[in-house]
Amino acid sequence: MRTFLSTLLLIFISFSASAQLYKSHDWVEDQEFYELTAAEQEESSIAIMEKYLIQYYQPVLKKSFRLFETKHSIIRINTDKGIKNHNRVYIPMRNVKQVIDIKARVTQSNGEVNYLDKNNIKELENVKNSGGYKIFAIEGVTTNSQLEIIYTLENNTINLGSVVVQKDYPVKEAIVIIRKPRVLKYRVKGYNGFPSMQTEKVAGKKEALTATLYNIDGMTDEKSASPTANRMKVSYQVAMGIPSDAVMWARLEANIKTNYVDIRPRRHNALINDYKKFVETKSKDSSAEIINNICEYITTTYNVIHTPSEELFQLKHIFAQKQATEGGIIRLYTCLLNSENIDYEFVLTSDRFKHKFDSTFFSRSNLQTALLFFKNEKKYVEPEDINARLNFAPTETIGNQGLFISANGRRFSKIETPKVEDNIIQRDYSISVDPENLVATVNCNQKNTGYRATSARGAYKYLKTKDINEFKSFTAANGIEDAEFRTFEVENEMLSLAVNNTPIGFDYSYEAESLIDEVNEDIMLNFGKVIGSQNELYQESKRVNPIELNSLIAYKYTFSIPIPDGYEAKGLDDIIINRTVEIKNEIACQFLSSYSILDNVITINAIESYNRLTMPLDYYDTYKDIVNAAYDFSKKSILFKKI
Amino acid sequence: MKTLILLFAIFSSAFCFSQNLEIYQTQYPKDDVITLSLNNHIDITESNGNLSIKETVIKKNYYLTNQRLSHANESVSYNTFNTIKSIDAYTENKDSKNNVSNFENLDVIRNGIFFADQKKKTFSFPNVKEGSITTLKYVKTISDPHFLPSFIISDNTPIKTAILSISFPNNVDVAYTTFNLEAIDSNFEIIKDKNKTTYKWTLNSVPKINSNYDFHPLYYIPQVIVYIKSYTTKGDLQPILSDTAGLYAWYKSLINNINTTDQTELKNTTLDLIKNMNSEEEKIKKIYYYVQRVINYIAFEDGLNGFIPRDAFNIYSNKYGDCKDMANLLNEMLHYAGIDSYLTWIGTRQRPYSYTDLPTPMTDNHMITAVKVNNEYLFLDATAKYLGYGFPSPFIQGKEALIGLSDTDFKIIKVPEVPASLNSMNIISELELDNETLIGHHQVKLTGFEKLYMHHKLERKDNDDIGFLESALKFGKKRTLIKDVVYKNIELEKDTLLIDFNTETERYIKRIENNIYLQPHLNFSLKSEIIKNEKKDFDKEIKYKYQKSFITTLSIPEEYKLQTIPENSEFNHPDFNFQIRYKLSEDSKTLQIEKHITVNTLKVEVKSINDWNNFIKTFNKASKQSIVLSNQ
Repeated sequence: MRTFLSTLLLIFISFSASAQLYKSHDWVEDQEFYELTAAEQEESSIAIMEKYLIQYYQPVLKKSFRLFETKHSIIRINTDKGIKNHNRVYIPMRNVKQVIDIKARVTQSNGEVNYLDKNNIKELENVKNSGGYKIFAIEGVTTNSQLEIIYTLENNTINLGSVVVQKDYPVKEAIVIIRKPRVLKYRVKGYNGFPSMQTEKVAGKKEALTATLYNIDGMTDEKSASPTANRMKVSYQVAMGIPSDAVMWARLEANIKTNYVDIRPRRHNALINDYKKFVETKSKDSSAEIINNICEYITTTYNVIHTPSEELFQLKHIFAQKQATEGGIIRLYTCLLNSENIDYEFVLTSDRFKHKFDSTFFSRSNLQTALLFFKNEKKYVEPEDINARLNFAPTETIGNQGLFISANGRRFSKIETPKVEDNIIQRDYSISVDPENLVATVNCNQKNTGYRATSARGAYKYLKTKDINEFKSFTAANGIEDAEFRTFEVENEMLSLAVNNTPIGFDYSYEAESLIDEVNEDIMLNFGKVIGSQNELYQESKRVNPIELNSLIAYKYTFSIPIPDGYEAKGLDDIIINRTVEIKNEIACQFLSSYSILDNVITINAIESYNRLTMPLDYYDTYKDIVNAAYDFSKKSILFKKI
Repeated sequence: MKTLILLFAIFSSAFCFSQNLEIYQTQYPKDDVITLSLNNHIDITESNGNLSIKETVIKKNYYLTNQRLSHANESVSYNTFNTIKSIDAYTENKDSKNNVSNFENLDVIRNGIFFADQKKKTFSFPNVKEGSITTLKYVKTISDPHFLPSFIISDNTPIKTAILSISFPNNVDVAYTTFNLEAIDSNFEIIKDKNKTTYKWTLNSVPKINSNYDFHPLYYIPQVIVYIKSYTTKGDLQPILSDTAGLYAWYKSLINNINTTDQTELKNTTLDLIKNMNSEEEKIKKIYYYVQRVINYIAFEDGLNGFIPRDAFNIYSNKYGDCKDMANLLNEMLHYAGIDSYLTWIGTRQRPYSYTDLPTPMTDNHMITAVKVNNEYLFLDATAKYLGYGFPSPFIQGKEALIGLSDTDFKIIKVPEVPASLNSMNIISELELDNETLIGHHQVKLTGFEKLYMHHKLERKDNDDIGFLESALKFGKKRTLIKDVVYKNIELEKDTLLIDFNTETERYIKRIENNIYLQPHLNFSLKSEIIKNEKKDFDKEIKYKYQKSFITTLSIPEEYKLQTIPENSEFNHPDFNFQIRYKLSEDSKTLQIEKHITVNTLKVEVKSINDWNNFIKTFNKASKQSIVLSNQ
């Protein structure tokens, strides 16, 4: 998707690209070996300084503009891990017109300096169709050394950009400077605490925008969070005239309409006829069925390939070759939807874990994911997905804003988050104990809806012929090393059933000795283990990021466990857990479990649910309690005492 | 008329295949695509003393379903030694033929390799659907006769028929070695004509690569490896890879001109390092640990440079290098110290070959330095940072080392397998109960490879990873608070790494009526080691032999008495065993639990896998046993 949208953006903004001034930048001849505090020495590495110089330049007597970007880093290496993180450098060449200079040096505490031998700079020409790289290993780096890298590139002149100043390692000082001729207008927007940029007039009718930041913490890679999106960064736009956001979005809308929405099916008769032949025998009673027919036709007939090919953006070639680029496959969908007179909206949004869509600042980060939205069904199609069907929006987009474009115009709207009731794993267990042979038999009826149904259907489709044991293992006996399956049935595995959120069902039974411990003549049944390995958040450092979950979800468990003849059940009160987190008087997440005994059968009910996609940082400890309660439940056992 | 005949041929073959579709779908019910035919031919010619080598591959795939169109994405790799001269790919359907028009050249990025000359041509077959037949045809030119392509059949699709062949003029001596052909239907023939000999292997019904191997797939997949021993031109014999001596002679020729820059600074550094040292062993250790500490491993595979160590002084100065660079630096420094040391070629355990069976560059993929101490060779691998002196790296145990003694002399020695007793983990724990919290004081001793891997984990550890030891030692519960951690003997030179730490585990016990149920085994080694399903059909690889001991002393709370002690248990097998013993002190105030595990093999063979699973099950069961304390 990145490829086609980048191309789209370049086309879109190129007419407004303009130019600035170039200024060289260099390191000081004798590099200072900086003192670090004791705390700073504890880090595997720390940046003394990271400077980003973005220089727009207009050569004398020329109308065109050039763009030079300089990155200058001074990084102190304290440990072997620090060496490994910094001694290989990759400089992307994707948008680079020419390399002005690359240099690096390493200074030891005794003043000894190693300079990079430029002959050792290697070139990768094309990595995964994302362009080339200049790569080199840093020479002379050891623990307690200081490396300095500075490079300047002339890039293709584009007027949008961003700089992420928060890294995995701490940065003592970060400087961002955007220099340009005053004739060029600008606007910037900081995210996640990035400060305002100061404007300063510079001789020669130039202007510099500068921000200096101190002591930026290294970003921690935390679970249930979006650390990448939360990094401190700044987006900027520099151009002869800065159109309003409304104008920018309107231009994008026009572009999308031209390329994707306004496709006339009658110009593609062969394609339409082929599709019609494919769906000849299929039910077409509702628009949902028609949309799913289109999905099935495309996913079983066309191969999406990641290539910059212009040809495979054109329907004629796509139809002839049965392959398409990421953009081309969307055109295929819209053409067939138009032919069936199905209303849809073309949605552009971002992966919320990488960037939160921002309608108030037009940038390419907002436009990394394309979806099709169907208002009547309130469902989406993800065109690039090889198992695409009418379904909920992908988890990385829900709760995020998006730009919705239809033939009638555009709107910004939130991408709906499926309700917790729509995303459930329900497992009804019946567990019996064989005291003679010390083995437990587990019978389970499991139903998954929502995202868990979608992922299970995808996995089953792939693994049913490849490795069904692997599928059984992670679906039904995760964490039970010795499970021996007796039966395993699957129902409702068809991908198209996602449209009505029909559960995929699993009916299985297995035996496992590991569920039973022998304590003298008594038996301990580790029933909690059957729910599978659970996340736990017991051992953690201070949390940095607010909570952000993949989806709302509920797990519902029931257990029916007959007490073996000649035994009595003990330790049942330990099963009771009651933990709830409320935010604004509404349940944000909870874990509840209880038990009862009737006719010598123990019945246990448990529910774990997460009803909010995001929760403030202050709630982290209570959220942790819920996650850990589920983990604790998975360790629960019942003692069957010999009477 | 020619066109008509050709058209007829295309349509009749397509018709034929469409008739066969159902048959193949029945025959291969689990496969979306099969390879109907794979023809791989190497053609060698000689002219004016020069060899020309060409590899031609023709592969036809048949799409039995349209469920996995991503199979249509293909690539052909190439590098400095084998370049693609021509490539053609197309899809045939009942009524059409579509050529691939777009080939892209991509760099191949491999894990752990910083820079390589490996590239690939990628493309997608167009118009692929159920019943399609795709044809890929390419010709490669092989520039160096030492690097004949191997026939290694490791496809993700089953192959109906594979024909592998090599033709060569009669003045060229070609040898071959086959591996794992016995498990499939294969046939070998030699076809001779006046000027040319052809070796031809026909393989029928070759299964697709199995994902259940534990050892490297090269141990299982069918292979025919061909190589040129020599050729004669104008009466002169030109050796290539005549035998192991020939391989060594070639390797030696590649390293004749290394270390040609001024090495004075390196020499001075070496002499400075070993100043005032008398014993040879002391000097070796000092230099070995120096290279380990200072040089960072960064791998390069760049044409023939992938076989030639870079200049020792440059490595010393740049502070990075790959295995051959580090071996060369170490070797050079040892020479400056007056130690007899030797560059040594070796294949890791990923290569199942021996130099005698296969005297080609396929056999090895690593370089180390050998020294002779007390009449025994020691294998020094500076790439394995934290590897103790005297230990070979774990991944070369049991493998043949080709030690380059002089310009002409070499020795092949098998690297010893390190005994379990030298790779040990010992944890002494004192446990006591504070209400429902289990308090522990622990002392850990790690030696050999146990120490090595702990160092690697420590190197990657995040400062804020406070649960590190729980996963690194497989010790405690997830909710165990690990604190007061002290690492001792962390220096490379120390043989034993010591770790002291304390633990607190809340809600550890289960209280039922007046009894406390407590599982005293805190270590969870081997917990997930049961071999399941199809994996039982293949040998299990063990990285290294080891011994683990856990001596735990539990203080019994004053108000409680021990009601139940689990029975002692053990499992004995020549290759793996454990013992668990419980002993109550005479005053009944403490319970001592001893647990010993030994794994004394690098491989669990298929015939022993049931024993292994019984070992693990018995061990897991014994490790979960609870003791019961009752209120007095």
